[in-house]
Amino acid sequence: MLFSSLEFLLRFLPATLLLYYLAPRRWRNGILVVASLVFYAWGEPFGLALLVLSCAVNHALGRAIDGSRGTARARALFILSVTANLSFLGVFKYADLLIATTNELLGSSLTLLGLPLPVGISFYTFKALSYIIDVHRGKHPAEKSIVVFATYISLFPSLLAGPIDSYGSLSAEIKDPQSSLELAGEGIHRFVIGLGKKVILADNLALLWRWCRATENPSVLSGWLGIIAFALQLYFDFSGYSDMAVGLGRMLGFHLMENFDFPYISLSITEFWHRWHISMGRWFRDYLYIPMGGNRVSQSKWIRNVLVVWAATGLWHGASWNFVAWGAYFGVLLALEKLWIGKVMERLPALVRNGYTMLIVLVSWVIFGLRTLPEISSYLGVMFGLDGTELANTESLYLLASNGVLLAIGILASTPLFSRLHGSWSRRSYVRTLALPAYYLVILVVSVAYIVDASFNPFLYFRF
Amino acid sequence: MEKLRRAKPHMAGILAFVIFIYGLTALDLATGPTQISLAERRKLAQRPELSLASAADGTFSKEYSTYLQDQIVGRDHFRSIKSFISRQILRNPENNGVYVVGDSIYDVFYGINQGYIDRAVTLISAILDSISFECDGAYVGVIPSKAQGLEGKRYLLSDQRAIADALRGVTKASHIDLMPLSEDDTDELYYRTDHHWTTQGTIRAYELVGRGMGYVPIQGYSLELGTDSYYGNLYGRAAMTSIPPDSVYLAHNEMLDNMSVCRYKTLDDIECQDSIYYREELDGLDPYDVFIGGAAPITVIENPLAPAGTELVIFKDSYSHALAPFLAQHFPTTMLIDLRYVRKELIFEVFDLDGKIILFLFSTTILNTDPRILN
Repeated sequence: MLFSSLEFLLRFLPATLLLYYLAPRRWRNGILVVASLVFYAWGEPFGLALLVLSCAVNHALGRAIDGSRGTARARALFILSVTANLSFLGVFKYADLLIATTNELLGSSLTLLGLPLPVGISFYTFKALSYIIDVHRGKHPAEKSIVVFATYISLFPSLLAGPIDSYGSLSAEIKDPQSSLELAGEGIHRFVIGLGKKVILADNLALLWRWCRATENPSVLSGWLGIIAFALQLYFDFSGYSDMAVGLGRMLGFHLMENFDFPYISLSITEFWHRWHISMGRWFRDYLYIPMGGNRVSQSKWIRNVLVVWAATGLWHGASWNFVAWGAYFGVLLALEKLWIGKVMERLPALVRNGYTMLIVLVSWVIFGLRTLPEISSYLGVMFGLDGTELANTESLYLLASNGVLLAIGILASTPLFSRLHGSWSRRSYVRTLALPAYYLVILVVSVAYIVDASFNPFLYFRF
Repeated sequence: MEKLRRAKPHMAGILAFVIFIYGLTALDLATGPTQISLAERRKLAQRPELSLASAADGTFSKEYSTYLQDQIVGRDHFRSIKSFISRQILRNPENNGVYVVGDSIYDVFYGINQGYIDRAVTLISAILDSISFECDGAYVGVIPSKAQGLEGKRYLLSDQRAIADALRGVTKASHIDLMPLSEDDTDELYYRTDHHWTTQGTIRAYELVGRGMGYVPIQGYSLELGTDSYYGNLYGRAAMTSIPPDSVYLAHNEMLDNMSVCRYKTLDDIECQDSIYYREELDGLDPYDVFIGGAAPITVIENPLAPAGTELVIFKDSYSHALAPFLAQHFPTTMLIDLRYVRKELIFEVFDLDGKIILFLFSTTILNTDPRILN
């Protein structure tokens, strides 16, 4: 079920909140698990069994590892758990990529499995993996209650697209949910902002990107308009979803981790990745990069670590080689930045550093958004005016004029400007009692208006 | 007390959210489903049946989602709000594939689908190759969409003359130039809320087609107001409640009033009536169907007052529903064939088209976007 759908806003959410707040506190986890399974089954009935299986198997293995801590059995069970989770992800997400690549390289004709990709599988599998690894490391004991564990894995606000919180950071709140009006108020603010980002900004920007990537009359202007629209779409789509997830979490009494921190104001690629999809970056740092030695190794091993982590990060985003190339692109650039470019950039003005960062990020979104090498090289050729592409034409000038306001709002909203305004104005009582509620109502009404008039438009990150 | 003190600054925001979510939910649940949307001229989705199979394969959730979207309380108002935000706040002149200029709605016409156009040329040529007709007995006309009238303004448009020019690839037919329609006042020649031509526009088109085919157009019609509350299909897409409805006029003269119409749904299912106007359609989903009853695979208009002579066969789209009776004033029998609903092979098996006047009359929109005419 999409957060930005009428069945969520006008059926699931009101019913779940009502039940959750009216029920005795000891029932709340049970209500959350049932609600989360309904939420998941609504859009993905066939995946429900896999989600339940993942909860049951990881809970049992976690307890078994904890119960035999320090023995060879614990290590064997740990390896089994990690292998099982990775195999689970591998079969449903990567098997066909492997088969297709094998067929292409060896000329074989192995049949593709054609399994549907269950939504959110990468997110809940990574949550399960982090839990198993932390139990094995002794960071926290295994959870005894299957209901509490299932609440952690299946918590509907973060089930489909994160954030990827660790069990340790949420367990206390899951075991003793502390909802309050203050938290609910904060949650509503985040949820409404996130809904507006997704429905009003991201979905409209998507139309511009779709046009520019498919146009038969490309120009340098349309190339840049398209990729800027896509960059903003990705940001508002995913950060909007994360805002809604964080907001819903707070309404239910949980503090989910922040996933975005205005990445497009970054002055380096390193900074960009500290601000973009923070929970995923942290997962790869804690469970892959550091175990491989991190940066406390020789330079050559460090470069290997960076490249492995970033190729894995790319592959996590999708079962396609363009995602691996996208990850490797960032791996190489991050290594270069740390070794050389960063030292040069430090001496340059902030505007130039942001320009350098955004240029690299925008080119990366071309690799991310277009699947094949010919498509990618052709689009980059258009952006940089190769092959005699004209600077602008009637079509691109029209696109600029008809989407100028949207792009301007998008660019401003991707900076901390509105957040700072909210921070300084929201302490005034008339803002809290009149302006903010009116602002919420406007965003809610306009979002519902866009949903009513729109066709199906899923979140981009569900399939990752 | 501390909790309440900390909650106080959030109370107004919480209240606004709760009132909106629960208020809209309650209103939505209290309002029963409706069958049709008059604004969008379509049937609305109804509540789907829940079964184990439909829940398991996901069809129930998909259909329920469509049902909620279609049946939400205040749907037309929400769509108007979206239209307003899109056009007035985001300053995007296009909404749902239409431009609104003053009180007139124009469907966006951008991009020439050369593949479709080339196939149309091939199809028309193939049909003409299989019919024996007199010299100067075949004609091709291309009807410009209303958007051609916006040429030279700030909208993104393709020049539809390119389609008319491409159709000149049909070498066995004479070509009728209908582009002057877009050079006149399109507000009078086309409905403001629909893509079709008005009765005034139809008469202007009749004059152009008639002259192109070598007939002296018959002048002088009395006009009867059929309805003054016609909202066409562009109205639903524009979603602007401020646009006033169109009026539909029905033209009369002695010949038009004596014509009869037979509509072939199949070769065995034929409905005939002694009027070119299907007045009950004025209250239906699409009042434009008042003209010869709307789309049918084959429609035959008989004109007992016409001079004896050969018959007219029109391969057409919906623009000809209003136009055909005017052309039928010159022929005892006029047959309209809609290639979107009937295979051309079937026509040749059943009807003898040899020696008849053949007219291909298609709008640029259909030629550019609807592959069904290429069957």
